[in-house]
Amino acid sequence: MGDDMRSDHVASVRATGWLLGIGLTSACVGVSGGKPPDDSGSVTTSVEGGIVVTNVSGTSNRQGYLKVPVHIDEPQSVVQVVGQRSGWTSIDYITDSRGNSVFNWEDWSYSDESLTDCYYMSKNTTTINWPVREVDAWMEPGDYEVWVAALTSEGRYSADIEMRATVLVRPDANLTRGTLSALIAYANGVADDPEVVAATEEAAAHWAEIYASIGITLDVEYGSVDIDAELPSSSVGDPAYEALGESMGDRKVILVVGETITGDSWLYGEAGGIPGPFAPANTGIVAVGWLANAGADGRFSDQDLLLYGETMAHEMGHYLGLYHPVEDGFEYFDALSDTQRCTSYSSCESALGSNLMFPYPVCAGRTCTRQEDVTAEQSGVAHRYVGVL
Amino acid sequence: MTLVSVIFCTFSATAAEPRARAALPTGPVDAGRVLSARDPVGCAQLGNADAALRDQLVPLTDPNLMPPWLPMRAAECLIELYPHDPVTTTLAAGWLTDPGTLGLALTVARKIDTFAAADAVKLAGSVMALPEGADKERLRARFAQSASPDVQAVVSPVAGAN
Ligand SMILES: [Zn+2]
Repeated sequence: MGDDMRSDHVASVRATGWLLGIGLTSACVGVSGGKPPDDSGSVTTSVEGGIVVTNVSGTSNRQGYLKVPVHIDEPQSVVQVVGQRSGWTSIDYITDSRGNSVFNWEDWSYSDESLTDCYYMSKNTTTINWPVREVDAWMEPGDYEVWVAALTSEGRYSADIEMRATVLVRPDANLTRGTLSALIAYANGVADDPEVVAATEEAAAHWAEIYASIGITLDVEYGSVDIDAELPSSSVGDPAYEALGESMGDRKVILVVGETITGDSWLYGEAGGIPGPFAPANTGIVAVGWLANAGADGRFSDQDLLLYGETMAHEMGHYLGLYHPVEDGFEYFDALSDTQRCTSYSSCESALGSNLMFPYPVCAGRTCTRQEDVTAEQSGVAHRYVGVL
Repeated sequence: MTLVSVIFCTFSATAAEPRARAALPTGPVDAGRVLSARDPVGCAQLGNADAALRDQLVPLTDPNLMPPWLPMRAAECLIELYPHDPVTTTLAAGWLTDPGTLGLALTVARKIDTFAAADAVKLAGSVMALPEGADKERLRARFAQSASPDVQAVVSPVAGAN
């Protein structure tokens, strides 16, 4: 069935070639030179705090994929695969040993529901965490392949491209209790401002309260990082973020506090992916700019602090795999069954305005509705993140 | 297109288009809701930079509005989209000298190179008249990062001493 899937894929690609016509021909890549993944690169495995971590490197095959092998020993396991290369990449499929599809990007590419960003063509890093929902079913013992694509910036699959992947596997039948270890790292100069440090600690305490309500204990450590306080965008990625991940002794999620992000105060919180990688990567952080959270007066009121904490919880929620329950002009939704669909500002604010992942705070005057509610399915997504131990 | 070229193109298809994630943009925009989003939005999402949009943005810079990033983003977009409009420069001058709008003042300082050269120098210079203290020093340091030598000069400690 694996070969069948490949054949189907090639066939659909060929159809695309016909439809796009002559314009594509000048950009065609060669079909030789790609090495099968089992003939190339290297594989190293270690165990870190209950997570089996495997690093794979190799070159993309003639279809443009590095097919990353994943071996599952324990029942009810979760897996995260982080694909990385120096150009554009995506994760398109997970297949089992018989070639059956576990995840297929084509099931989601035209859907009005969002499940994962992994198949969105992105530069340098792509991440899938599986399963996402209860309906997706646990990873059970067996052998699987995760198809990590090498793409040109025009979206064409490229053979013989050097790629690497990190595979993280852990058993997890418990969706009610878990611990998330986090590093809050201050960018250059931020830790020198006692008001910002105090506000960040208070906000983090509120973030911890919200996560505690769904059984996730937040274990926070503070530090500093040699990065300009005008933070690089975490969704675009920056080598400094990967270096920060590499420098940590233990694996943690990372939240970097700067003054702004890419120089814009309105860009004040950003996750490096949905989900984000639980591995060193140039998108491997959540970025927060404190200035916009402090607001027009540049100082943190009690309401600002609540919102700052919600921002941390919300952005890390994206990193753990959560989407907004509704977005994009009420045309796109998350793929969860217990977040109500709505079609107008008033109905959405009424149904979901207190949900942690609602796109914006609902405010009246100086007071905003607390956005701390997390549905059972949202909680399940967060607990299945490989880093929630 | 020949058969050969079609076969060779089988491995060069377009992958999934990256579908942008966005937070509740609208047609004719409700700028207040768009700029309240928790995640990144750009001023371009607000639509055409016409007088109607400017008039929507001005009241959204009210420092009392919530969430706290709403007036910050509104100010940012006002400066970005209407840097030569007297409405913008008048508001910016007020933020720089009002002790209750340090966040908006820092926004002006970070965007100072967006303004016309003469306005930029004038705005930066107004900071030097502020009482000594941490806020003044923070603003002065921000203006000093301007690409304009004239702005740098007006906020230099020597200029302040004079
Ligand atoms: Zn969000």
